[in-house]
Amino acid sequence: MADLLIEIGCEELPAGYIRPALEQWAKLVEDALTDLRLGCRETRSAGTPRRLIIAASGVREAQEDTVVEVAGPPAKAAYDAKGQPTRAALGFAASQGVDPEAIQIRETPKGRYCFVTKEIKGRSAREILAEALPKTILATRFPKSMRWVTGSSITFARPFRSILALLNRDTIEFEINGVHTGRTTVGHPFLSPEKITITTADFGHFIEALRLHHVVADIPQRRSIIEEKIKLCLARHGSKPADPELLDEVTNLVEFPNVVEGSFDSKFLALPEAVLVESMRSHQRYFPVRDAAGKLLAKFITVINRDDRYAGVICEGNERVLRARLADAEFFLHEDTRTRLESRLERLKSVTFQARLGSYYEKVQRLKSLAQTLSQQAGLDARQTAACVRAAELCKNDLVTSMVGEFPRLQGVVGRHYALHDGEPAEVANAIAEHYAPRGADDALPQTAAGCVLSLAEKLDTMLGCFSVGLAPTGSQDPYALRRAAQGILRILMEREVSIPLAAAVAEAGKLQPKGLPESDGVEARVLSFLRDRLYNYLSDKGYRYDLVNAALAAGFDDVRDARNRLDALAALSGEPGWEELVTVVQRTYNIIRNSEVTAEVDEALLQQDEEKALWATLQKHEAEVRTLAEKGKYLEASRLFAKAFVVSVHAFFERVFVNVDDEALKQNRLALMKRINRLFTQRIADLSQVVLAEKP
Amino acid sequence: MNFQEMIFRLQQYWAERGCVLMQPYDIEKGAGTFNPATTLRAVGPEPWRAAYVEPSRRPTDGRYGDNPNRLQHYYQYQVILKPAPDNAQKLYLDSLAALGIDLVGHDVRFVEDDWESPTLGASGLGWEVWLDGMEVTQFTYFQMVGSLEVDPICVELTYGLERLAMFIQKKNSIFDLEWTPGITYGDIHHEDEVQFSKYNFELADVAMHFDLFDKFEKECERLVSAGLVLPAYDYVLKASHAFNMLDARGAIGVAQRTAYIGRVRKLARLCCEAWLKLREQMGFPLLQHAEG
Repeated sequence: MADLLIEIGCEELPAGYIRPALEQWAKLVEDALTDLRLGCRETRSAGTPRRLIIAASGVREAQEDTVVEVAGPPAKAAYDAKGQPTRAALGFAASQGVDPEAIQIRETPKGRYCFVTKEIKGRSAREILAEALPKTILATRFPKSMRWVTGSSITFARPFRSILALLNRDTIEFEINGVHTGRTTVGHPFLSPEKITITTADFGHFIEALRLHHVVADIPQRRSIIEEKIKLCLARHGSKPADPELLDEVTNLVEFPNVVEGSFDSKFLALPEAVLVESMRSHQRYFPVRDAAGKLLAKFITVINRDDRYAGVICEGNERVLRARLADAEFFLHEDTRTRLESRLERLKSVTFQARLGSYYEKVQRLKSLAQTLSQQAGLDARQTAACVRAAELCKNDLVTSMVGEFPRLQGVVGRHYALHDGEPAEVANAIAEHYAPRGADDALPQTAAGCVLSLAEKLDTMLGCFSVGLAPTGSQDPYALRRAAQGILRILMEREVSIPLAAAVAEAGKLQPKGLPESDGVEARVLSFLRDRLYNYLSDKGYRYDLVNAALAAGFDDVRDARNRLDALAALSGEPGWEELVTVVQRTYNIIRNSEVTAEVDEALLQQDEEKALWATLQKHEAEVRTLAEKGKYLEASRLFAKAFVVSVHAFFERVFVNVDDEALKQNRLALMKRINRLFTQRIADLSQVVLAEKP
Repeated sequence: MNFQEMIFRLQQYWAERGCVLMQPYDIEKGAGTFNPATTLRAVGPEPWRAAYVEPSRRPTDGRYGDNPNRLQHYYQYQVILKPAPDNAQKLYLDSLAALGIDLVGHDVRFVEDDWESPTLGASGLGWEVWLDGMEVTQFTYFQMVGSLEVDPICVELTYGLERLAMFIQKKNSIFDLEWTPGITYGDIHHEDEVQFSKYNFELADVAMHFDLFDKFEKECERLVSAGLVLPAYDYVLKASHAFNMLDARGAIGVAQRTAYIGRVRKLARLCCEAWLKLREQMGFPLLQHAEG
């Protein structure tokens, strides 16, 4: 049994590519070893930005000899009447490199066929791997890859410049893109740039050899070295442990893990916290440092790819870079706060929101009006309403600040900071920051009532506007992120204590759009239908049965939380005895009316048979109560009462009463009765005709 | 090392490595990539190595000379190597050593960056090169230029000369950089920043620039049709700069932006296609030099 070791020496790979590439590549190598009958006890991997390493142990040095059976032509075509081989038989034997006498005839389900059995000599692993390993390397996929050799279509994440490939003590010889395999690698490009000759394919020895040359190739080990060093720094300030996502990223930015702690002038702590964090974490991959109470300190930790000898100089350089960035931010803060946030409104006139929908100035005018209406609909008090409208007026003004020009992701947050600086009430400032929320499926929702309403207004305005100019999402095209906006609207309505009738809100937002937009006809209906589909997804993702979701939404979703309450009732009822009977009542009453136009109301004088009279009496007795319970949101009770009243009586009706009689007045009267019973449930609670009942055994 | 010495060193270094030392192109542009010595020469099979200083204008980056790290007019040192040599990274690192930078004692980092110029229809994969956390160079393997696939692949190195100089001279303000003994960067360029920032942000005539953009676009298309690719390409640069001016004035909205960028990209594609055709008709002269 042999060990296999392969290392691809690359120019710096993106940090996020390394782990996924190793996982894929290890799998490809394992599969190849298995398919080629070489076997593999286990694979191990390691990697840095400059190398991807896979090792396999328990690999056979050669394939075992094997016997294969090859099927040929049917026997009757292979031998003539005298039993002599025909050209078909001779050809088959020749193609397999055997004498015609070696052909055997065997019974198969398809008849009698020719077969030859051949012994195949196993090939040596070195020889086969020389063909197979290049394929595994080239089959490894990356989010983005590139060409680098003239005339070659081979792509990889970044150019590779060396390949080490060993089977025990021997190299496996192949070439890809002009790179020939060998038994050498290099250490850390600056700390140990010399060539290292590797004599055996032993993974542990290889990792150790790299270690001696300032390369910690094992990813978990590199991560834990960094983590420990950061912990030591943080412990001095009583801070919480480091951010695991950033830790994963920086682990794959270096070969020799080391950290330094730098500091900056504490005057910069006056900057908005989000600006400090964005400057350090996103721009420089620094770990911000907080005290035990979570307050930012004028310190940072950065990972370096050098040993301690150089840490001081490198730290100074990084401090200078951060100082420059923070000085920029401070400059922006200073420039921006010379002007009050409110006075920037005029400048929004020259910032286009969308060509047909006008400037941000115009959008703000719409938002003010919409915020006013929605605040009332949501029942906000006078103070909250005033805050919401004021926030609407100011919420886009930070777009024309230098700070947002520099830190676009901080729009809203910067607006809040400047609003507070100008002495706006906290409610207004918070609503400005919150009006973009949620920015994604997992992002936090607005916390304040004014923030929720303004966020709804912002999203509804964008949706109605974009749908009116033909920018509704199609396939992967959704430049204004309308799916996310719709999801945000639904999450706010569902998960925050804000209740707004959806159709009225959509209509109001539609009314405020500019006149004469190309696709404004019926836009409210299209937006509602889009919201309905997103709501369906939202509820399905929560684990509700799709048919119950459809049933509940068919009875309306103007109040999305009410729709969810009705859905909860259905989910509960669907697990109780009597569920099928309840569904059947709604389905039977629906089936009988679905192809008829029912215009009449029930005329008591036209009721003839006992069963229909009884049914009418039942309806008279329970209709108002079912309705009242439903109006109070007591859907379980309403449904149970409906079932109790109608399961037996409707069944009896269908047993005895024929609806589609020739007498049109009589027929209409019976249909009207059916419709009234059907609608009592489907309009108030759920359209159970959408429910799929399990097949009866 | 002062600012002009850095330029001498780089010129010397890249000349010794077979680069044609070009001079800046005489039209406003946002980056050295826009110089026809890069954009056009990157297209087609002919080998090419060039290096040059490129004064670059990014009107939106103006800070009225008040900000120590930001300029609306700055200098790039641009190197284009086609085909990409196998030792491109080493050549680059040696150029830093030629500037006197101790590569062992500083943290030199190649940080993932997928470079893209949507206006040129150009993109590539490579890195921002960081020195102790400071981005000093863009290192890109071009994959696409003028919306055309590039083959051979070229390496583009774009040094931010001011950033490098701040690193080397350990200065906290661009304006304090020593250009030559007794003269600072600020002595030469501070007033430019004040005046051009005011112009770019406050006084540039928006209507005129919208009008110019349309006219430059028409002129470019007309010249491409007439088979005059080089004059046509000048108008790509002019249209691009007019767009940058409008952008600085905040006159272009999010959605419009995409449309304007698309218009410049189309012009760049027309020129690159016409250039490729022209060189083909000429029998790709530099390819023959290389073979002969």
